[in-house]
Amino acid sequence: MLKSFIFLVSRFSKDEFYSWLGEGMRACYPLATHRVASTPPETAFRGARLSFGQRGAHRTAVDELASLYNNLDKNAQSRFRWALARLLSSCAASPTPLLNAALELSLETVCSEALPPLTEKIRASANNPEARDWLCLKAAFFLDEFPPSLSIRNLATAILYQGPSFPNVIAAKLLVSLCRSDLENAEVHAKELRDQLGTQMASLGKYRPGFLRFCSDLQVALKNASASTRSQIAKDKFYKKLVPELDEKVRGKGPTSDETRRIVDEGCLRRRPTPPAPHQPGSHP
Amino acid sequence: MTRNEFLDALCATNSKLALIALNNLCRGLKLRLIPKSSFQQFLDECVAILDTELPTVDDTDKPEALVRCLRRFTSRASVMRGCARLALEACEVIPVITVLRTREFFYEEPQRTHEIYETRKGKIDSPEELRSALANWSSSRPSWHFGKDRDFFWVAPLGDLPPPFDQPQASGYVDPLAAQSHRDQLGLSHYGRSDGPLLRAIISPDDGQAALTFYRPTAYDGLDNPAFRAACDDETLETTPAHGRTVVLPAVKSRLQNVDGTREWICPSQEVPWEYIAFDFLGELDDSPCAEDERFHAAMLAVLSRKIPCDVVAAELGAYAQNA
Repeated sequence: MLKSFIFLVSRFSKDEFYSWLGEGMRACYPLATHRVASTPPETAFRGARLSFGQRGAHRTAVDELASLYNNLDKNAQSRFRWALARLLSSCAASPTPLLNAALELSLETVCSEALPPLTEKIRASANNPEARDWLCLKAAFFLDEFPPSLSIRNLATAILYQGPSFPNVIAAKLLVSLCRSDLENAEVHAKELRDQLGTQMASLGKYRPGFLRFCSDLQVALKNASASTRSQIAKDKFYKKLVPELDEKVRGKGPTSDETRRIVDEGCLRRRPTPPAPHQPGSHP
Repeated sequence: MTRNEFLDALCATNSKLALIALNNLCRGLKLRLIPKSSFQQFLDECVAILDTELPTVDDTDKPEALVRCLRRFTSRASVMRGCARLALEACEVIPVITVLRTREFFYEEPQRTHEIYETRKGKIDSPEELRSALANWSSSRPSWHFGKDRDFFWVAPLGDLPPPFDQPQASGYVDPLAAQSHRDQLGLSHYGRSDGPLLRAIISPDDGQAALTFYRPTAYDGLDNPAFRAACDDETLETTPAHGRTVVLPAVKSRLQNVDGTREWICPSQEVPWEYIAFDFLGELDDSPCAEDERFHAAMLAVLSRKIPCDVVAAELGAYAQNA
């Protein structure tokens, strides 16, 4: 990336960043059904012809922008993130290539400013199950990769409590994220997620490394939970098997293959009706 | 700036990457793999970009800007520039391979990543995980889109690889040399450890079903790859075949006389039904890409200079750049 280009971009104001980013991203990812950039990033972004597209044609606009972001100083990075969050807000809550690219870029730049607009989109898509599912799948990466914060908690609770059900496959990441960001209510969330998590275990059980990673993540997330929270969660055999350390008396190092199968079976076969959500939209802490 | 001023300024940068690209363009022109008019048009585009962009570039950045301008455009360049040569010899049905990063393979499949409780940039670490992933994928979509992000993709005949890699892998077995061998034989200088595990797709179209269109790659297609060679040493105007040939990376590094690898073509991006594709897990590479290694650039330049010495490249290209 040319130093002159980095210097040029680093002097952009917030609004200039927004217009430069929006113009380029819209040129790269027009509102179409496919994700292939219709204009290469080096042409789409003003001033980038000799800086983007240099490390192979497989580099997407998101790759190039993330690399640019890493070369900016702290102040310019902050303006970049602001512009990105505004771009995200301006996108419709539907699975378009532009929104996909904006979310990918938010993940690459760990743009915490993107969390409120994403949360808003998940709330707004309550009547569009297809869009909501897609947004939830993307959002699970934010839950996984961003440090615990109020914004992350809001995002996780919006997925869990506001609107129709979410895809089962994100239940594990959702639970870990909620335990990290809202430990006080871990027991409530665990109860709420119990059935969908059981369904996910059915497929996760086939991939033992993933299953063990999940157990370990959950154990770490619950490490600082109060004794009462831990004991409440441990009352459920399903969770006690997932994290044996929840029960002080159990000294196992983790579930064995047989236990994994049993957990999966229990998760699939002993489904209980979903309890009513304890929190109304917007009222959750 | 004129075309010749651009070429002179480029040579004056002494950039090995630029000299490799220029040498290939020169060889392509000599063998008429690239028409003179297309080369002149290419130079005009470079000059137009530089006339616009250079005023905003610092003096210290200018040599770099010139090199970048030369190497910027590779996407399906031959086909788009109308100078591609349809490779008739490849129209017979032969199994070809293309190498992919597992990351590319699972691009835009968040559902899959969550299912195995993976991170966004998660890896497929074993043939078993690849098999499970494929079972999942093939049930949800009818085909795999090759070259989706780049408009084209590179292929080589499976049978040109050295044994045992010239056959589909035995189920579940991964040769520890598989990734390295493919990278070296196919001249994939831009792949390294950080790319994660590699896969190869064996495409075997059946009687014209999902048949691919093969083109001989030209210097335009390899502008961004320092391990690209426009033509083999023994090619002449009368004997240019309808395929390119890769260079064997260790042979280049060792400056061997014969660096010829497998035949290769480019194919415009295409959807291929699953029944015509077999995927093999190749594993990870254990070193860095040699595309970023100056010593490799020097070695490659030495290979190319055997046909056209560096000091005559500018003069020869200058003649092609003239209108008359």
